[in-house]
Amino acid sequence: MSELKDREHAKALQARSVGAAQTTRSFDVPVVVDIQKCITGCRVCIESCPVDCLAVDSVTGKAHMRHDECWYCLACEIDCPKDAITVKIPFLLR
Amino acid sequence: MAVFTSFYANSVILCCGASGRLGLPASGYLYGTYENPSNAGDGYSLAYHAGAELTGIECFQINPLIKDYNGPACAYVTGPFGGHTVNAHGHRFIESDYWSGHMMLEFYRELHSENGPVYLKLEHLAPETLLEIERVLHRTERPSRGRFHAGRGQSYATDRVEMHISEIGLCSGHSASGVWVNERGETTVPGLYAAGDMACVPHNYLLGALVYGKICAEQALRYNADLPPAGPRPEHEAQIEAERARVLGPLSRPAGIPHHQYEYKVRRLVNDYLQPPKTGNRMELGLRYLERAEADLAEVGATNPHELMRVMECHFIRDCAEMAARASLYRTESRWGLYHYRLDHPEQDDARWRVHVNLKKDENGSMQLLERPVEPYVVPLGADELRSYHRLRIRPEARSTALEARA
Repeated sequence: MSELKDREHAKALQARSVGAAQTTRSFDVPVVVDIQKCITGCRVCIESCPVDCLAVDSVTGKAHMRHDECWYCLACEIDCPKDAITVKIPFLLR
Repeated sequence: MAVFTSFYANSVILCCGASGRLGLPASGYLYGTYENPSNAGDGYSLAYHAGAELTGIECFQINPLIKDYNGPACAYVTGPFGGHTVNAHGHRFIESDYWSGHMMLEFYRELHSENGPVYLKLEHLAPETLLEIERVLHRTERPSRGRFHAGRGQSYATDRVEMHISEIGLCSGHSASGVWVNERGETTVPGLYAAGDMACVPHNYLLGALVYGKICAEQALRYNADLPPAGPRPEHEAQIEAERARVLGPLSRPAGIPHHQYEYKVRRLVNDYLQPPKTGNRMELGLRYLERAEADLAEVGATNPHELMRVMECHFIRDCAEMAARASLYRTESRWGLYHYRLDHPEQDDARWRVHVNLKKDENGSMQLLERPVEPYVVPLGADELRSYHRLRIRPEARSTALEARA
């Protein structure tokens, strides 16, 4: 019993100093970009987003929602010159 | 990757909007807030650390909203067209749909009574009236509102809009919580001005923001006129270096606590311990958790400039939460309806508390609470008018008399 108690005490101390481990997970994001229509090099939607959640995808060279931090305000959708963006209400609110 | 830039100025105008990411929305979506989530209370925190006084922080912003969507239902906009707020029985229960702390208290009581939920009722209106309401509400303020209703297969003609109460925020535009300014937009720090939702000009909204923005600019120009151009000073170097280390610190911890986890936790604490109705015991406990959260900031990490911005916003949010707790604990009475409704001090006490509660950072870096007198009314009010906010609930006998008259 005391051995178990000692072990738990040591682990409790270790848990406070052990450092961090991380993982990743996927999100369904509200802003959907039609990459056939999206203009490479255009940044209109990225600049119009008030919360800085859009960016150029380094693989496709097109705009995409990089951060799931949307206010569903439609600024990107309205400003896109090619009508390439559709904003959905975020799933948690839908 | 991230560049730290210092600006030198004799005067600064803060116009950073509300503290809109303070409470956690019921949806759990961090950015599904009533306020524009760009505004994390940046101006409140910056003014505080610059030594300026803030005021009325205990007068929280709470709004009646479309549940889950979290945009304003705007019952008061539909009012002139015949729309109004009702309970689950379809009965009106508040005299005015225009929001105030007292209206929100009656809204809260109805929502949590056997008569809840609460709805916006429009289905009795003519189709052309509904079209006009949609034209106003679906094109301004929150233009995705129509998309939300359509996604649930609902329309104003057939369905009432379920309403709810927003998460708490700080915003002088809608309540009174903001940086203390005088009629010239001056804060208590010479050369520092504030305008818009973060400056305490209650109910100033967009018009007030524009007017005070101009006043601040004129005053700042006048202030600058007699001063030599601003530039680097040796006595500021250590301060700038400390700030550079603080701001860039999270980039040295790429495997640190992610900003969104930190933010979720602090805002969840705000809901658990600060959301009205308030109690001293609960807020004292919340304050202890918020102090612990200050230490946690040293573990929050970032891997790019976007995340670094969010980490800095975590600092603002935590600062605002601490201000909200301390100011609410200080005022041991209830005032402004739900905005500062304390279960342990349920009565309004004008003899003791008809004062502004201000706070500032003192010489030791601690949060200091102080009081300032309320200026006399410019237009005198009658004794009955002073209590009109306390009469927002429709009296049951008034409703039954009206029903009898109709029958």
